[in-house]
Amino acid sequence: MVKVILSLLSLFLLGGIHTYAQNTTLEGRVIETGTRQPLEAATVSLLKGSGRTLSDYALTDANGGFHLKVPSTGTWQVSVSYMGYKTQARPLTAGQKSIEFVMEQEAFALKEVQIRPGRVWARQDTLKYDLTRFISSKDTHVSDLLKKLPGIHVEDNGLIKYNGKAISNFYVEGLDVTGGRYNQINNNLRADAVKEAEVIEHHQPVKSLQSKVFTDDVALNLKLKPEARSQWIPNAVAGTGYGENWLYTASFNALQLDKKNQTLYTYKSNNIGTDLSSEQQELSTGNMYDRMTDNGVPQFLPLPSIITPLDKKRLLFNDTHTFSANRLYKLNDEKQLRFLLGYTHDRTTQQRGSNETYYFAQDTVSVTDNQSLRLRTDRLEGELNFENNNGAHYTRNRLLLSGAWNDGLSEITGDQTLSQHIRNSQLEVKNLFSQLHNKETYTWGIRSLLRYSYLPASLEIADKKEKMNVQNAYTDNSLYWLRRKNGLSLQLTTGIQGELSSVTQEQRYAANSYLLYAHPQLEWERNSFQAIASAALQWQQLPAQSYAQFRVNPTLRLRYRFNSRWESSLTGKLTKSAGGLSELYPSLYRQDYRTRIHNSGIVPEATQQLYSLYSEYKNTIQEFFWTLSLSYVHSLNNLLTDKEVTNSEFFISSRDYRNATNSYTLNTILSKGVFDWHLKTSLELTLNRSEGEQSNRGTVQTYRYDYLQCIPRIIWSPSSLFEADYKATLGCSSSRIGEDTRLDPLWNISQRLTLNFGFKEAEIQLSGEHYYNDLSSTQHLNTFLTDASIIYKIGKWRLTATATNLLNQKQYRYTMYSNIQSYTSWINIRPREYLCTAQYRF
Amino acid sequence: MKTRFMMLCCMCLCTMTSAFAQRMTIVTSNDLKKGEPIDSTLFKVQYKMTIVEDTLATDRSPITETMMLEVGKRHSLFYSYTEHVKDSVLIDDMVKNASQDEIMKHLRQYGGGVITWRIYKNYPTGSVTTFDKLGITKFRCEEKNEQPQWTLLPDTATILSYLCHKATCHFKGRTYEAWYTQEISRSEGPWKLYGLPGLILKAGDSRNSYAFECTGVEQCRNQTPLLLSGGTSESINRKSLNKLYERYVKDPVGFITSTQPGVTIKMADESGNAIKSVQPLPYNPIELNSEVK
Repeated sequence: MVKVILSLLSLFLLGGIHTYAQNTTLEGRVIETGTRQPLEAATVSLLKGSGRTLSDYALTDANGGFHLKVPSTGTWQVSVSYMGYKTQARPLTAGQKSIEFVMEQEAFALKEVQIRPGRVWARQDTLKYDLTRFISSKDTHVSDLLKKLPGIHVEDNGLIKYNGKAISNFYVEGLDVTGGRYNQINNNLRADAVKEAEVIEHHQPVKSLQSKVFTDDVALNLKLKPEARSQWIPNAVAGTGYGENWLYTASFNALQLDKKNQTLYTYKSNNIGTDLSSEQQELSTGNMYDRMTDNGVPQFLPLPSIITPLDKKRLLFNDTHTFSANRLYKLNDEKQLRFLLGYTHDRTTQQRGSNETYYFAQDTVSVTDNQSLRLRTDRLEGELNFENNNGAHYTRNRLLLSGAWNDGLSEITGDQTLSQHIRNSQLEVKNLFSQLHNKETYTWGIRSLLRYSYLPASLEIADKKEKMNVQNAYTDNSLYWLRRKNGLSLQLTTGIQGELSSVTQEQRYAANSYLLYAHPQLEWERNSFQAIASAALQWQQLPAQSYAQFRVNPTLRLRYRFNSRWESSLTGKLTKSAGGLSELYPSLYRQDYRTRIHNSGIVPEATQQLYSLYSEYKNTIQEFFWTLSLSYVHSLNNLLTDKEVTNSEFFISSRDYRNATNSYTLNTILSKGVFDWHLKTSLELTLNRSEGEQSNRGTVQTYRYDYLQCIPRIIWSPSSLFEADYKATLGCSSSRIGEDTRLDPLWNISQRLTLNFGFKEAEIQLSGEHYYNDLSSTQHLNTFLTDASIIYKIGKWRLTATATNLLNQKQYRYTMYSNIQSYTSWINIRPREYLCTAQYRF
Repeated sequence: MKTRFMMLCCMCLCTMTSAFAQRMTIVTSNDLKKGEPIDSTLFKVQYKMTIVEDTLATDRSPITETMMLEVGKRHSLFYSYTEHVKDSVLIDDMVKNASQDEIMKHLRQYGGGVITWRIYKNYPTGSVTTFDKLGITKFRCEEKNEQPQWTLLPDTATILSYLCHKATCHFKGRTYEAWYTQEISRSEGPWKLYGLPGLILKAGDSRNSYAFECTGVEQCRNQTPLLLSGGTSESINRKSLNKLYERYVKDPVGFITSTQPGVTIKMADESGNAIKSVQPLPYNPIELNSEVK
């Protein structure tokens, strides 16, 4: 036994000595060919066997030298690699102790992974889009480019939303030359002039309030390319064509947008269905501090409105001219002065009709109504704005003057045959003043709004003319105080609102209102958590109506920022309010050819509870944006509207009856960009349920209306040769009226696909639209609309030939539900038309 | 000394809960000097650096910073790209004599960088040189280029389409796990990490306090100089520099006023109210004096 152990031990020892004896130290040197200079930090790898697995490695020293221990069993290779030199590998012979490598230079090519901040990158509350990486030759104006940005949505009227929130301020190089009428920039500024778009979340433009008052506002700032700054950017387009009538379109604009002064002149005119009204429309809400409540002017004889179940350009039979001139002077870093002038003349006609069904408790009433409508509007607007904005003070004064002259002529057929002529005007002067002063420990300010409006209006039916002239003067003046310490801020707004409002028909009726208010607000912020609690204390009096009420409107808002990507907020709000002149006017009056209104004279009161949850997530690296909002609104009213239909005439009155309405809404938006595929996708889903009561000849019945809408969208531009844009809108609505009547769920689906093909200077654009409408549970309608255009660019010219509505569809039909009614309507659309335009970029 | 304080307190600029928010940005005429070329850059590597500064904070939310590694023929430079962009904008503002408002606006847009040090590996040959600034004082610390002792492991992964291998080491008080690629045959990496048979694309310490992840690689096709910038700096050894860091984080304002007599600092909180003292900053340096496993 002892022998066996000894022999095993000796074997083991011998084996050990044997292994030790087999490790050879290989010394070597790596030098450069030609200069024979040593190469430092080259990687020398010891590779084993034919699989060339890495066994050991060394880096060369300053003299190019290295040491490696090589076991003698097995086959070994030594490989030397160094960036910029050809990799060399040599087998080792048994017992080899030295080696020299002479390295030959070689051009190296890295498999590059683009170093980029990304197309989209975020820094604190600012999100930047590198527009040069989104632009394609198909993008003419800034609006085309903005549509491609993940997280940003541009609505049909030009309204820009970021993560579902409409932007509050729109700047170019930090200045707002349009006073919120940003379509003037988006539809006129060339896409290739802009370099970057910045989205600023929690935007607080008032410097005295920065880091003191939290806002939920989002601003958009465009940065121009240096060559586009400080110079005039003129642009002219003219075109003509033929459809049923002679067609024309023309536009001229000149923009000069630098960091100091900005000027913008535009003139546009067309009769091809392009809606220009949004060019003069104030789309953004502006600075939060300057927002003052103004419920607007009561309207008694409104102009019939244009119905747009389709894209406006399909059904606007228009003749429009619009002009605007804006000038902004940046007097210094703090002060700026802005002048705006805008004028629009529009003449629009529309042929439409509908079969309306009202599901009343006693009976079901059907009304047939066809209209041939001609609307003529003229609107002139001027604004003078001065702003002094620095850390210590803030002063802003905005003076607005506007005049609108409207004329609407309707030829009615159907259940009744008659002609209606409505004329109304609105002359208005408005001044908004706000000021802030920053003291050592607190901030105080004043705000004042003064407005006077005069609205003469008349309704003429079969030579019988009725006049209703409204005069309305409104003022809101308040004092503001703010103190912030250790993350806690207290704001107090206290003031008085006064409204002198009257309407003159045969006699004058006045409903003046005075409101005293105090609005304390507490804001507490700690790390990522924020809580805002406020209570608006109000005392309102309407002397002529012998009405007085004291109310408290509390609000609570909690916000939590989980990380830089994700935040959520929870809001609860109670609002009590009283109605104004148009709901109070107690005399019977005719609103239009088929509607007569008689209010009870009781002051309408509403108590509204709102609860909402909002969550948003953004990942700029993945270009992924998501928002979710859930809301519940419960309203309690003291008056209920009673609707009566006799001989196709509507009689609307209000009755003293407490009733409630409920509304539940879910809205979610997903937006994802894929950089490598030049793709932007988005999906919006809305679910809504509304519940309420409606009265007919004193009988009250309940209704419930459900609505689902889903909007998927894809914009894909894989190369300059091809671009595709797909958008679908899937809508489904159903209704339950009373206990017995259920209206079948109806689907309305619209899809639009636009394909762009580019061949050097030429471009072809094809677009197809498909509409599927359920007219009833058994009757469906499919409508196809197709357009084609060819664009040719030569030098500074861009020539376009377009053919719209190639299938020459003349009419569009659809069915809709609302409250206790359903209506199946038809509307004339623009026929097949051919148009040629030439654009010149100076 | 023609020193212009561009900004005293960045606190109002960021909503980060970390005391990093209290870092000060001071640009002096020294910063206007252009660097001197010491090498030509072959390629650049961008890393996302993730730092947990306050290990005691409840949420331990990390700070991320974009870092850049410029690799030359002989030397390499590792610095904060975020800080570099901010400095470039502020220097440009200073040259243009921009208004305080404009500077504040730029600080809001570009501020937020937390890494002020820059590391030159193998400069001078055999050494590693760190440039940093505390307040107004700039330091230059030259140390021996210490190579981590790596253990190669068989694990593989693909990072940014590069085949990578795993390796571990214990270095400067922390245990690191790194992923390197032999497809880029240059023994380089982020911070002071190097010595593997290829470029390190990903690395992180075992306590998850510091992590680097490659986000881009770019080859320099034109002659791009690798610049040695830092102006006039005070030479200091590592031990003394670590002591200064400790002193600075305990009382940043006291540090500046004691090292620069004649300088007064006015501090304000987010609301503009004057604050008298500043809370000590959390301290979790990448290089630890004592060994931590």
